[in-house]
Amino acid sequence: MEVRTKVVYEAPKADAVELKTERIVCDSTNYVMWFLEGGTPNTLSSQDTEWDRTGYGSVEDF
Amino acid sequence: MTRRTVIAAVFLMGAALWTSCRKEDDLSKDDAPSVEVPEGCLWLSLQASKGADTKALALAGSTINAYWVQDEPVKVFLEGTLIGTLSATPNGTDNTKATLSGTLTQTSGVVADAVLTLLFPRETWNYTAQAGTLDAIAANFDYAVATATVKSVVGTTVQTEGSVTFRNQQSIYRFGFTKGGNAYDPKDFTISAAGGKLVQSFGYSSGWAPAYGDITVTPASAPGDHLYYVSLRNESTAADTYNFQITGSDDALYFATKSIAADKLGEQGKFLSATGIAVSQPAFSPAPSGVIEAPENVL
Repeated sequence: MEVRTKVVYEAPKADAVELKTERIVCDSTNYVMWFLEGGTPNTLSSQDTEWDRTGYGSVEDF
Repeated sequence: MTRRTVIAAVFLMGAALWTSCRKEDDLSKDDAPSVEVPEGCLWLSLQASKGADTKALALAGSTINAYWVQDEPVKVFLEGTLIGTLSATPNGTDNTKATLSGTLTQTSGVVADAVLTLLFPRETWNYTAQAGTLDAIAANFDYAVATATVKSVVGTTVQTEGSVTFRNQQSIYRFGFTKGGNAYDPKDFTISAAGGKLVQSFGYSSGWAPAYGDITVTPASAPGDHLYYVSLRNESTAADTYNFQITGSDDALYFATKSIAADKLGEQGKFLSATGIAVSQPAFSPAPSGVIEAPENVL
């Protein structure tokens, strides 16, 4: 079972820094848990891996 | 990191630790979620993020670079089924790299050695109705694909093997037109490929069955450098010819052609440029107004 909500906290006078409450998920053990980013049930995470985007390279005339 | 940012970070960490020590019964109304949460079942993820304002595509000299933008979506498929959407957090120092994270709505089959297909930014792609700028391409016509092999599933977290690179699925073309030896700015132009393999649209869910056809470009205004950027996926592997049907600023009809060698087409993800494409009017001219009488031998 999964329930989602999103609450955004904006730190006063801290430009571009925000705190997001993104996911509320019920796990099978029925424990209440609060945690920082990571470890969400059924979460695909690339926290150990950064994903690259290739550019389009240098111009080729035709 | 500025003093202000440090103070904000300390504040955020303090808030997180404070909330981590409270029981569910202690939640204030301000902190309560906006949806009903089953009793005794509550997980919360907190994330501090810093917005990125980098353009997704940027021309640096003669090179087009691609960057991740904050919260860009990536769709995750397993054997043809959409199982989740990830969100990008750019590296910050090198925004060609990003961390992707999100929740999978299906876990069945997500086991070690399973191959996931990741589609940026969505699973249906469309190249029609472009505007002729890099910004427009970045917003609507820039598509990339990656595959990732599941390394392990620990608890409820899926880890993938190694680094993954997203490959662009089209090339970006730069066209420049001339008329009478001078740079020429069309009101709009439609591109067709003689080989008939110019993709208008396709989608992963439909097995990538492409729809081929013309691509129309309607610039919002004439660019200062008289150059137009178009995202094209031409699946021809042989030499081809692009035909342009152009509406001039005078609303007159013009034509132009440009051939392209096979070695430019065999692989997507290139930055291809053709400038100085001469436009000309067709040999025929519109019929004059009034009654047109058929020759006697026709009736």
